[in-house]
Amino acid sequence: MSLILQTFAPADGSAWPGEAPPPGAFSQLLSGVWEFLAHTTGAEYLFFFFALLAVICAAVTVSHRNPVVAAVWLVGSFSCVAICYVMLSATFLAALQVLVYAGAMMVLFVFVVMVLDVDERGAANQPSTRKSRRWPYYGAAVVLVTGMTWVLWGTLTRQFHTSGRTIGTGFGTAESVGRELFGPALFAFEGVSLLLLAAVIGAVVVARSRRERVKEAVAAGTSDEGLHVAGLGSADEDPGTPDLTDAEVRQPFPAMDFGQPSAGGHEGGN
Amino acid sequence: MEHTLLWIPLFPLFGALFNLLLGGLIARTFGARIGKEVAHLVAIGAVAFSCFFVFSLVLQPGHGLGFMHLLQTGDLREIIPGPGRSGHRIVDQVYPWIVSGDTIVYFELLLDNLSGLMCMIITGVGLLIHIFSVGYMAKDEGYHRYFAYLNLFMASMLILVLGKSLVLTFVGWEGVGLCSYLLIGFWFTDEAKASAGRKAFITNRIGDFGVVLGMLILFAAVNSLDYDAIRGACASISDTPLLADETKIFGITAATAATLCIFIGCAGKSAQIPLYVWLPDAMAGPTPVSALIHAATMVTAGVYLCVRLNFLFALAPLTMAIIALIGGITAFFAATIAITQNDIKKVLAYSTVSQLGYMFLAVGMGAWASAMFHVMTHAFFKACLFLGSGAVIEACHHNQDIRTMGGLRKRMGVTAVTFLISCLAISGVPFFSGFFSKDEILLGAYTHASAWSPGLNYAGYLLGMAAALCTALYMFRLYFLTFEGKWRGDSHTWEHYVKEHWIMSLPLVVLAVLATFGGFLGYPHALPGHEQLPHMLDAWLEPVVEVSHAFGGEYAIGLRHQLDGSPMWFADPSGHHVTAAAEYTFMGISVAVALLGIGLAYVLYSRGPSKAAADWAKRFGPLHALSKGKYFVDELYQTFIFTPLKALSKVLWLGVDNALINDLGVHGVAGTVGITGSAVRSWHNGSLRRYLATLVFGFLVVLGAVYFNPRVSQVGPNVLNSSDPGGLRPELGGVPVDWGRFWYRNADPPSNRSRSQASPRPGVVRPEDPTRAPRVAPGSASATGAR
Amino acid sequence: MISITAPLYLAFALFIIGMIGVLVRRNVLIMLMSVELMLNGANVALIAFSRLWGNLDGQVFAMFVIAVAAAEAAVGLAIVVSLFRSRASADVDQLTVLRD
Repeated sequence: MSLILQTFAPADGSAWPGEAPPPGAFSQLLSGVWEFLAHTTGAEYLFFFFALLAVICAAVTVSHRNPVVAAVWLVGSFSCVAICYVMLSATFLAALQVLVYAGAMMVLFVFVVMVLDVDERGAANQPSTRKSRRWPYYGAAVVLVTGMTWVLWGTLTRQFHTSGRTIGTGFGTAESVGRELFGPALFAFEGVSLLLLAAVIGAVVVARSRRERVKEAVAAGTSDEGLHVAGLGSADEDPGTPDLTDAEVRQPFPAMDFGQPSAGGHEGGN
Repeated sequence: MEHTLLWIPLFPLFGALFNLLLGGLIARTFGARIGKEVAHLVAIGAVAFSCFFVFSLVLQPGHGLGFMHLLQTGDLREIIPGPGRSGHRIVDQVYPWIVSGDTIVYFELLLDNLSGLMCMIITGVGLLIHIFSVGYMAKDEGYHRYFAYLNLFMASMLILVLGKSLVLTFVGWEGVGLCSYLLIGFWFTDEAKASAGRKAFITNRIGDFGVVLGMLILFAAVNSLDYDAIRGACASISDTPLLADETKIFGITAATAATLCIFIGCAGKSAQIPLYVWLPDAMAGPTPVSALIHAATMVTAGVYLCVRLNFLFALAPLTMAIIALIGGITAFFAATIAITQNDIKKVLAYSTVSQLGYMFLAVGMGAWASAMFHVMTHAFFKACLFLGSGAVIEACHHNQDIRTMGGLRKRMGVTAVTFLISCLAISGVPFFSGFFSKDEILLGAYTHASAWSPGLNYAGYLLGMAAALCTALYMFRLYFLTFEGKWRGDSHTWEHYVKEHWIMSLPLVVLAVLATFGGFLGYPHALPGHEQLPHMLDAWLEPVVEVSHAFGGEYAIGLRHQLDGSPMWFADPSGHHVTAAAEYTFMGISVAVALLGIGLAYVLYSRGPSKAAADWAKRFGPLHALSKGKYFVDELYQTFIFTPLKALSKVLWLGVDNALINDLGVHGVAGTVGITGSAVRSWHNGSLRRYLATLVFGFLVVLGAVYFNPRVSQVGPNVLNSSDPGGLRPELGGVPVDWGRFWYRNADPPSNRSRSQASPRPGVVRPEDPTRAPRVAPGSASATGAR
Repeated sequence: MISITAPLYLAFALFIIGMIGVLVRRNVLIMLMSVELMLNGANVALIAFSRLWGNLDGQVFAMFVIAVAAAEAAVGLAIVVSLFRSRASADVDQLTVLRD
């Protein structure tokens, strides 16, 4: 072990971290808690509070069975993160976070969840995967999360014990961000607008119902073979869903166009 | 006109492309008859244009290479260089062909006295043979293909001759090899003919390997393959890199090594021992092809290359001696084979090998001009002989066996007369062209040598003389058996022979005239009238060979001196020319030998194969069998090269290729992939979550690889502080973790650890670095203030 | 003023929670939400470093991330709708058509 440590020792000959033995883990922790309490200001308490809240909300989001409830918890998490943004002098981003994430996007999520009625018709009444088939996923998740935690913990969070640079009053406002956005980042900004346009079109195309597509294709004079090639043949011929007829597929879900609301939501958010 | 020289090979190249790409189309569109006319008109026209260009460039008074001037004054050195030309050369730098670092190889054509002579031979004889082909190939299916190949050959040969560097020459060298292969195997549906083509190609490739090696050696020594650069490197014996110690290869000089390697290529291309075996088989091709490629032009490429590099060869007396010896042996050896052959083309093929041997004898003895002289005269009379044999074969319904011929003079008078003239020329009967050139070679063989190889000249002379006797014998045996005596074949052929056509007779007549009078270009010094008719070729080629002639000491090539340095008894006191008495003596011996051979042939064969001939054959039973069996060289090669090679190939095939590469390599890889695929197929089950898990795992691996890199971060269980997970190295900006003061918010927490005091390395920006001014914040602040 | 470590912890926590959700949950919708959480974690880190260096590039980048997240959510939800129509399921374990 010492050999390995020697191998990894700093090349410049400086001492290995923690050369002097610590006075004891428990007393160390106590002193840490004390210093934390002693040096923490009101703004920091605020930040910690909302950060903790955001994490709790996120945990509930991930763990809750019902997607609707999960979406509501997600809104809470995003709102808390937005408040953290304010603490980090990113006021414009905070507003954007509330508008786009907590507002438009979450509405979209909840909307879709409600429309699809996943909880009743979806995963819940499907025969669930056997336990024996599920534990590898959990095991893998544990291993991966542990590894990721170790690495991220070790690299990201431990190096920057600083409150950062002194900043001016205009930092993070809509004006300063806008100057940056329409100055050096103009090309990227325009690229993002193209991306959103593509997303709108893609969403419309993907989410259109099969019946609509078939109707349009027939109106355009496509032959039966053409329909089959385009994946629009009758459901009986579809090997993927042998037990679902077209009527079954169609009936519970009225043909709706989900492209427009989502597009409108994003455009409004920006 | 820019790029004048480029047009010389370009015309035949365009003709070849035209016939290859459009020939068949035209034939289909307009019908075979019109198509054939278009084909040969384009082909002949292209060669005629090249021919016109070459002759105009060489002969044009005032602007040419000075040939007319030479005719008038007999001395080239008085010529004033024309505008844009240096000396007697035209250089056409087309474009930088290979640019690699400091090395630039130009696509550069050079027309000087040597390449001009070769070009005149190639385009002139080539034109005649193209015309002859119209008659010979008239009924052939692959008419367009034939003329395309023939034109392609002309282009390649002209590039070979005109190339100003070895690289470009090598392009032409390979090109003529390819065309030779294509034309030998022209009737490729016949397996024997196709394999003859392959044999020629493979044998030539062996030689070409030598040329490439020679080029590499030369490049290593001279750092250029341009002829002028090599010539410059050879100009001074005292400090040439080719003889320097540091360029020696296995103890022999670079000059010797390079010339030996190049001579291997020349032996392959020009059919010398031991690589001559392809030429007799090459007679499988159409007869005009044999005339053009395997007699007049391509096979002389080796001689051309040696003469072109004469300054280099002159630096390698060992190579010169080997060349002379091989040339002499080949001349004699092939001539003895030719005596007993019964196929009209085989006789001519061995005759060609023998005559090429003469040329190499001259090259080896340093009689460069004599070699070129013989190249020229040989092109005339051998092309005439081959075309004549073609006419005979055509007349005899493609029968080539001279035992079933005879008396053809009565049927085809023009062919018989031109054939006879050519036989007289090749046998060395006085005042025909072959007499002058062969006599000059034999004289040169006796009188020329370097001091390095004493005694070689006697061997060379004797071999040449013996070969001359055989030459006269077999040529007149051929003539008598074919044209004299009584017809020995079937009466049907005799009755329905194919009549001579003017388009086939015309080239024969022209070539016969050239074979008769071509020799006067090299009129000997000793004969009367020399003052009025100087030895034109000597003077013409003097600028090409002057460097090697200027060498002294052991590298002295040319008139042989005795070892003590004094000229031998037959030399002029001036040391320049052989005395008239000596020259007359040698001439007399040559003529006597030639007449002896002709007389012998007349006695034995003038009325068909006589009983006396059979008696002689019986008397020299073993020798006759040897000669008839071509010394069983093919069988020797079969036994000692091909059979072991085949066995080795079989081992390689079964052991290496099948077992190692195929089974273990290709199939092994494929099988491994298959097994791995079926093993991991279950992973590709379409489960999104598993894919995601794999994705995260890969991400973790990458991240971990960075994290565990000791140059980036400090990792591992810290034995002293078990809760410290490590982090960035301090020199990369990492701040030591003080677990106890973890929440401490200041940049530099009060710490007694030594590492926190580690000074930041230059270039590593710490967050608290005051020298790095905030970029945006003040700007935005001021902007806000301005509002 | 907040030490820069704290928002990094937040970012880290959000990212890991999102990753757990993506790995463990079978509901496509919740997986999408988890992806949003992960993106949010990245945003927090970006803004924290933007604050650390006093450089607005991080905030601009975070804005782009929000835009990309919006686009991703739109297309992702459209795919979910489309899938749900044909399969009547939001369980990723049922959606194994990628195999074919």
